[in-house]
Amino acid sequence: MNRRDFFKLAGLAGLTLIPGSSAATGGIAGEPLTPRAYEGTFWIFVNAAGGWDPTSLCDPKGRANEMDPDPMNMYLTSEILSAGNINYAPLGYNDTFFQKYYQDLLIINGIDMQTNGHDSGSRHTWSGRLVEGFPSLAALVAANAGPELPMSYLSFGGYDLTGGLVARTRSGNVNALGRIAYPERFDPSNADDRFHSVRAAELIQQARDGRRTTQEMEATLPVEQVAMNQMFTATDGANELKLLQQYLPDELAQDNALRRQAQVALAAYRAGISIAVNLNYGGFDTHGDHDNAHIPRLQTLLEGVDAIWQEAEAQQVADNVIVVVGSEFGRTPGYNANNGKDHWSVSSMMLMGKGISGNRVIGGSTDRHQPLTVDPGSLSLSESGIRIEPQHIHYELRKLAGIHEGDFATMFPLSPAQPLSGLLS
Amino acid sequence: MRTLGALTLVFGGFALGGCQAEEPEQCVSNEDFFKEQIWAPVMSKKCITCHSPTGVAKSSQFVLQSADWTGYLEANLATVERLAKLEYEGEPWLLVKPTNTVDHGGGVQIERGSAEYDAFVELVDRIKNPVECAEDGTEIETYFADVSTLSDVETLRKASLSLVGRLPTPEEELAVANGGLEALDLVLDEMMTEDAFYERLIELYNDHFLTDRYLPSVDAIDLLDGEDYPNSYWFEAIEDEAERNLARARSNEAVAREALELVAHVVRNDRPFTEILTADYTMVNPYSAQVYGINANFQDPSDENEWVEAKLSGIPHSGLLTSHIWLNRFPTTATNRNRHRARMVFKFFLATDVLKLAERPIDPSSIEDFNPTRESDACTVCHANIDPVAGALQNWDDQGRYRPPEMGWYQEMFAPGFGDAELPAGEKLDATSWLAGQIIGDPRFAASQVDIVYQGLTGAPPLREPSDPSAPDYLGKLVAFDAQNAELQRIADLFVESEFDLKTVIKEIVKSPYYRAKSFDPGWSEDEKESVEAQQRLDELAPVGTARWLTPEQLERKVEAVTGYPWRESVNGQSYLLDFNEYRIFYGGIDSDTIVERMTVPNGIMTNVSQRMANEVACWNTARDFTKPAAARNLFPYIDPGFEPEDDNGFEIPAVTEAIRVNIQYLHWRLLGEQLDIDDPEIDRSYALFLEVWRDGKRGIELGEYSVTLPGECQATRDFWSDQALADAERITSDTNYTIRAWMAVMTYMLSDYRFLHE
Repeated sequence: MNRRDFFKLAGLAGLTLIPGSSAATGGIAGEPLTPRAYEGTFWIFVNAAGGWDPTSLCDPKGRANEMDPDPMNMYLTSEILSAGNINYAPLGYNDTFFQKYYQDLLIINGIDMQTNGHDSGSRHTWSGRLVEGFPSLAALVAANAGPELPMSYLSFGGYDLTGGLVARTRSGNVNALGRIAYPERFDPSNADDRFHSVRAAELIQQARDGRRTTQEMEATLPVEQVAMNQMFTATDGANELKLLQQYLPDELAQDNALRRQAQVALAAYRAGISIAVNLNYGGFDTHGDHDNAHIPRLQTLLEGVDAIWQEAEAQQVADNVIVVVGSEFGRTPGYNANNGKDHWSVSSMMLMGKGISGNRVIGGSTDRHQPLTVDPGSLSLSESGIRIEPQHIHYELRKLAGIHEGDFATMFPLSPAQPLSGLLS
Repeated sequence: MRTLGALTLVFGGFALGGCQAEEPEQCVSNEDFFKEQIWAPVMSKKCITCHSPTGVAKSSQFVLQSADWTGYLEANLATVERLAKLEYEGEPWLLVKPTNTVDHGGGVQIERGSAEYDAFVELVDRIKNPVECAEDGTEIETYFADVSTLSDVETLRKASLSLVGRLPTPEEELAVANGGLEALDLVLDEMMTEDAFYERLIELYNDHFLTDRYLPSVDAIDLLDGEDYPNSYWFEAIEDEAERNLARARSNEAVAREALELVAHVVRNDRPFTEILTADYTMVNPYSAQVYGINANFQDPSDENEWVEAKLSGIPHSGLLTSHIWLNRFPTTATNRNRHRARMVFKFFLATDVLKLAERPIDPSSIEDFNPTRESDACTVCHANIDPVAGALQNWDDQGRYRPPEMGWYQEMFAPGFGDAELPAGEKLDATSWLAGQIIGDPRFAASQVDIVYQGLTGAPPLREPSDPSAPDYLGKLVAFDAQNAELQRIADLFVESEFDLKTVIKEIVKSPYYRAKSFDPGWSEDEKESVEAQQRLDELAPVGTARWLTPEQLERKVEAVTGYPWRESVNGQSYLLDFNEYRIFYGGIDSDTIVERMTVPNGIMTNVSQRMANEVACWNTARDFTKPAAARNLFPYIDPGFEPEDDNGFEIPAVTEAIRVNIQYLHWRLLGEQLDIDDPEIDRSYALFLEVWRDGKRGIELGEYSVTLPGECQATRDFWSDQALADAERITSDTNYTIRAWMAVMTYMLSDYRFLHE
């Protein structure tokens, strides 16, 4: 990203840079960004909305016997399965999924979410901070690598605060994209069928460019400067939208929402116009009839993650993709009076893809799903260690993305007292 | 209510440059001094590290609350005031501890003689001699002294587009130009009698209530209990299919809209807005009356716009709180026990996000209680608030039906009530009405509605108090929050004084600097621009003014307001901006179901949609406008297609170019809201575009590169509204001198401009 544009955008978004920092010395005179095809890592964040139950997934507990008066789960402890070093609950799609992907999977258990509120938990999971105002990691990655791309940050839901650094994109009816991609044509498929002559279009653009310069110079209110920058940045990259048409499948999947979302996201990535995406699948807030409502959701979630990799393989980009799966918190130990599980501030995350070493489990929890501590050096469980918090994971992910230092790190600092180096690989 | 006293000090002295000595000293209250000189720079960064409820000094007499506690500043000032009165050998404890004059576990935190120390000394003195600042109403003017606002007429234009989706009439403009803001109030009062205003009001409140989720199919009627309303599908008995389909759609829409129509009804009839919660009726039109099996009197039984008050049998109405559709939109379950609904009550009607209360770090290992929601501090922080309200909603089941619990309410929950007030035993069957009375008596009710309207009109929610004192822009954000909060509180007070007249809120927001701010001129030198104070002032001004990317609905209305026609290919065609299968979602709209948050930052797709709009609207409306007599035109009243700026020899025709420039000036005002002098550089730029496109077109026609015929889509051959063919004399299909296409270029240029797409 052009550093001066970054400063301008960030500063005008109401995000103050520390005077004297490297970013603050760049001035605010921006230069137009030049969109170019993105070929770096594609970041896919999968949100299980509502608060999932890790004990039914990758942090299995079970019950000792059928007489257990307060069972954690309805399956028996003896039925817990494993694939490589990863234990998992004997439920739903778990066996298929973990057997297929355990060598790629990093499981982080016993994450101390420090909240059991939906909004705050979601924010903590995907930004790494509990306080308000921090962008999602997806937004930071996209803003760092190419905010000018037309679908730089594609969001299908979940926590997607951008802090004004990058525009989110939502996907609607993809059949309308042709007309959107070619706004200068009557018929999107006919390059000669234009509203204006080529020369007139050039003159219109020249007039726009001139006026834009004047408008940017004359805008003095921060809110207006931000709005202009956002619109002009989006406009600069809009032409690249045409590339998306080349990679979208003729028909999107109807069987799994996550697969459908992944198809659009991966097409955008292949077109070089997208960097990060939020995929979202909800229904996990099962305060009643937990097992019957929750386990099928987990199954669909894992089928969806499986579908993401299938799509990535089919599009020959699997080697350049990272998938992070998480939720805002976990579910309470045991069942409530309605066979449901309420909110619990301990959770897990699953990571796989480029830069992630699989077949590993970091962290853990007690039989009643209390978080255990890990040694920051060895990452093994240790009573004298520290609790894993989202900031530890995000700090390592930021390092992977190359944004743990520099302007964004200054603006949105993460500073775990004892980082968990080597967490990802 | 907060004071703006210290706010003026923070930037006022700076903005005054070298003239500070001549200015009267600004009053700074103790609260503001503490916030800006003690808390933000020192205590929030140094002291609280140990002196917090969980820090190593948690057992000391000096424990500070962090910024995520509601009311933390007041609590911390109280703590400091108490500590300042304690002395050690004649010196305040507040000074001897951080300087390590007496043993301090944290060692020296403040050096004697430092600026921080001096601030602490002053604080101690202030605590002994408290400073309270008088409020004379000029604080807000001082705060915005370096900000220019829209003119009265510009404000009228902006408000008119926003509230009623049209441009002001010349008479309205004249009245405001002559009568100023007082006249603006009167014009707005008139506008707020128009149907378009109530459509806008419904749209504004649906952004929060989201009950339009049930507009499709019979989604709303499906929510009704078949035994309670056996005639709910009455329309299925209609034999004629078209008539049946129409009745079905109108019936469903009427049920889906009952809550929003109540909002509109209360405002339309100038009732106290509290009635949205206390109304002992619901709203029905002729179609929903049949759904509910009600005999109501309608002037026109086929008019879906005729709404009347009605009582449903067996239901103790209490406005929105007892609306089927509202209760279903915010459902509950056997285990949720109305807590979700209670949370929404706090959010919509008490300006309180209950979930924020749970955002303080909690420790799962500390939750070992049998009934944690009642007994664990980590849980009671929310549940002590929402459980009583949930209990007051006890008579409404998971389907939104009135079904008082036969076995009573849950004993293990906090008792039904509101705040400290418990639900009287005799009120159980009508507990919701009792709750409504409690809510409207709470000052937060007025604040909540001001917040909703503010967000609706500006596009941005009111600021939240910043919670991260370590952030470099913390103080700027804090000042910005305080200033905006003071303005919104002022409006809330007027709202209460007006006996909850929502129109008062709308008018006050329209007149506020947050809505009208246009530019900022601090008069900074180059050096000053780089200063910390300058950055802080920019932080403070972050929420000032509007630069709102128009919603799909707003852009749809604006296109029609300025051109006279919607962005539709034909009168019966789909609306590109409103149709969910077209651009509505792409353009940042909501479906009130799974997509409930508007996108406010444009992306590449959104800007391309706006480009297509600009091209199509320019194409369809340029020739069309010329088919009408000049006086009836919306876009080109000062010129005709035959007006060419140069003669055959390339010499300018002054009278024609003057007319063209006048029309361009007119378009800048009509489309972009810019009042420009005729020799303004922007007029020159637009004129140059027209001229160069025209010259290229003339040349191209002469060389045979361009056709004299307009592109088919841009020809004017039919009347849009009647869809009838135009008479031959009215039709415009050719453009022999290329002026229509030159004007199309100007139209595209303006319709895709920042100022057209934002308000």
